[in-house]
Amino acid sequence: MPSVIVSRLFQALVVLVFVSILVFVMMRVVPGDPASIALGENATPEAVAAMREELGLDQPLWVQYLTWIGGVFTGDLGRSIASQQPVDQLIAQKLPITMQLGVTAFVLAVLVGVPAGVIAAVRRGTWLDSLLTVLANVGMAVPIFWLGILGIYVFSVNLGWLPVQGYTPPTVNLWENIRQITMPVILLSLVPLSQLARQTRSSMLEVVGLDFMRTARAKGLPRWRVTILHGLRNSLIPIVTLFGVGIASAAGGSVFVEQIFNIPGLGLLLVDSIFAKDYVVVQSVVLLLAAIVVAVTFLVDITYTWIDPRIRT
Amino acid sequence: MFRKASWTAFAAAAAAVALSAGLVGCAPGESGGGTADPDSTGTPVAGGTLRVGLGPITGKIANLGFSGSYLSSQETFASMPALETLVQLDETGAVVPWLATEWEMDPEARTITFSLRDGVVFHDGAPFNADAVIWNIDQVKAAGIAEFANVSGATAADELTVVVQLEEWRLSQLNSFATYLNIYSPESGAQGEEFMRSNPVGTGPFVFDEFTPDVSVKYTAFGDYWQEGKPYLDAVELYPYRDENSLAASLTAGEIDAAFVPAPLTVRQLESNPELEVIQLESGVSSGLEGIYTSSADENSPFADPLVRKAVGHAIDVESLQPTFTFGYSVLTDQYAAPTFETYNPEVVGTPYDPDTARELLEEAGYANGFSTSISGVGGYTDLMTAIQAQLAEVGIEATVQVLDPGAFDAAVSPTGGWDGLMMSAVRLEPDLATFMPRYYSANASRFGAHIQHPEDVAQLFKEVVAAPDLETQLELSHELQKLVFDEYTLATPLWVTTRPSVVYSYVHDSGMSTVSGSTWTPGDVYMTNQGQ
Repeated sequence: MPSVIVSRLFQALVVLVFVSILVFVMMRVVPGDPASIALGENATPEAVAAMREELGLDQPLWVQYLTWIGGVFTGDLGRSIASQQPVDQLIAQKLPITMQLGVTAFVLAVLVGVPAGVIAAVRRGTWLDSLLTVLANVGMAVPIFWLGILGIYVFSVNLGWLPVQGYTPPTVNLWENIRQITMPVILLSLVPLSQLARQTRSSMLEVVGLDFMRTARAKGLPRWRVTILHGLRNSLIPIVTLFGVGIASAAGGSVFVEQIFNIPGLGLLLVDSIFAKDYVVVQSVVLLLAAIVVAVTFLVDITYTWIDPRIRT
Repeated sequence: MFRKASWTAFAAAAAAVALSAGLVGCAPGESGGGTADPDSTGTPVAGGTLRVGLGPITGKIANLGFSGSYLSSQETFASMPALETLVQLDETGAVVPWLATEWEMDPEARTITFSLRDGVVFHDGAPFNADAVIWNIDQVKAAGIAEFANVSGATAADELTVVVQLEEWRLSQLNSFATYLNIYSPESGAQGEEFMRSNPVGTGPFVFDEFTPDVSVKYTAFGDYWQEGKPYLDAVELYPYRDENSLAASLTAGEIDAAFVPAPLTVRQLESNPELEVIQLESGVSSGLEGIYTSSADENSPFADPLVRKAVGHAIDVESLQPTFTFGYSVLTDQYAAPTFETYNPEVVGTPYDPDTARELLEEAGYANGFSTSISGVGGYTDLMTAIQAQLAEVGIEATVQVLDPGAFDAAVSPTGGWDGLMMSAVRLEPDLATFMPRYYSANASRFGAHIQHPEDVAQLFKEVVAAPDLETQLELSHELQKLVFDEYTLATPLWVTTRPSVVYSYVHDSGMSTVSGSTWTPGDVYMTNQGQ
């Protein structure tokens, strides 16, 4: 078991180093000068050159990379070129917002998606199974931004139940926060929820006909106990794999949702920074998102060993 | 170069169906509405909070008060409740008094002497005086702002008189005080640049209350404002939007009272709502000039020949494109000026649509069988570029459309970049040619200029306009410059001046948005008649 953990940690480190190099190179390959963009159209060539020097953009690429990655290890992520704010401060402001959306959406996806999949499997071939399967397919197929605009039209403009946009921290006004994140969270949960429902149904169908399930039923165990403790537990591995995908999907989807609902999270910061060629912010945010996905994947790997003891060996 | 699909553009298209189905024309929620004309000045009513949504196309707010750094149009707008300038521009682009009551310009001594308004105080209680103005000038000079590079220093003649010394005489230097120098309190400014960026402390009608990045900027009324009885509103709240559809939905749902410069398509969708009014920047001051630049500096390019550049102009049917692509929120022009500017030269002939003349010019230039080129621009111009592509093809110019992301566009038009063929673009439009036209058309321009031709007579005229001793001479030279640049050399093909429309509820009066100039807002004058509804 410890060797599995060490091996996974090493793989995670390699992935993060690769991601850091990739994002660093990609930002520099795309045309555009961050100093020129930050200073605006009335900037003199001298002012642009001075800012490039100040930002270290006149240094060789490998020096720039080592300076940045060295800063990451020492906790100094540098300053945003566009806003002049320290990058760690920016991330500290935005990350909790995206996390609130992502985690809530993920919890919602699990709480609804897994039971929906179980019900569909248990009621296989019935109208309920058909309905849940169709809904799951629709959930995966419908574009989030289209559904978001439709949701705004129905629930905000026509019915007036929810606000169109905005974000209030839960510590300031919890009720307003709930009202504001309701639509974004539902939208963000839609894809992982549908995937979980479909995967749970498939996994459950694979085990419901197996011998141990028949044995459990023959022993007279209650149906719910057979389904949950015996069926679901033995279907969990592919479902847990989707947990990791769900977290990544929530992080990626937050870019669209934050834009539609004007939520000042990490996704919005990333988009702004890409267009402003704000190198240090893009590099740091992408590395952070990659680290989150890697960490979740790592945890999922470890969870396998708990779910299925055969993997420990 | 690559083609980038904009999801927001797609969303806008998708939403158009939903919007046209019912979003436009819905009731404005709790705010209620009125029937008064928002442009008319009636009897002001005190009280209320004005909530303004800022359109995504105007940019992001990262700096609310530091004049030593570039402020986007949205940042300028968002800082105006708190910050004011020494002078302002009126509808014709003329400089008018504000915190300075009058000024004297001395070409011989190369000085501008400002007389400052008495009895003005900053929001932090500090007095507005000559020392405060000098501190602000020192700030922009230290930051290397190009518009103040010609200012060698400033001294206080007395408590309320400032003498600004120039390196070289420039009549247009006065305009820089209207657009590039927000007067900030030196006492609060002592806390440094970072503080100033997020805490505007000035002399304006509203006191800065709260700035939540990407969410809102909030102000409350300033009790000691120098204009007696103003402001009428209790508070002003600004909300930057990232999505046009959300902005339109918020306005329709009554979450906000006004939308500042949404995209023209959004304005078109909202204008059918009888409770809303569209306000356009009729003056064109501090607006945008949309047009086409050619890579004429490249000797091997067909566009090095002025006949070819003229042919391009004659091949484009601007009058048919304008209503389709600007929805009427623009004014046609054939030069670097709106027709309302004093610097507009009515004698400029331009290149009116005439495909036969275009073909003749191409033949004369040795391109009887046409040639292949490209037309580039940011994603927002994709449809327009495609329409122009079709019109150019009619005269034998086969152009490939290339869509650039903002970074690639910025790199292409910068002095170290370059492009091949035609570049579709919008540039800032101001009546003051001496300051702004060289920014795009001179050899040392920060945008476009390095990649277009610089005939000697044009370069000479730029120098003369800048050094003009008086307004009359400068105006005469400006007209001459327009004729030379656009009729003689056709260094660019202007299409139209955008009128930066804003949308407000009828109960919002004297909004001051998009009325005088694109860089001016007078929130102290705004009042609302929906109180108690």
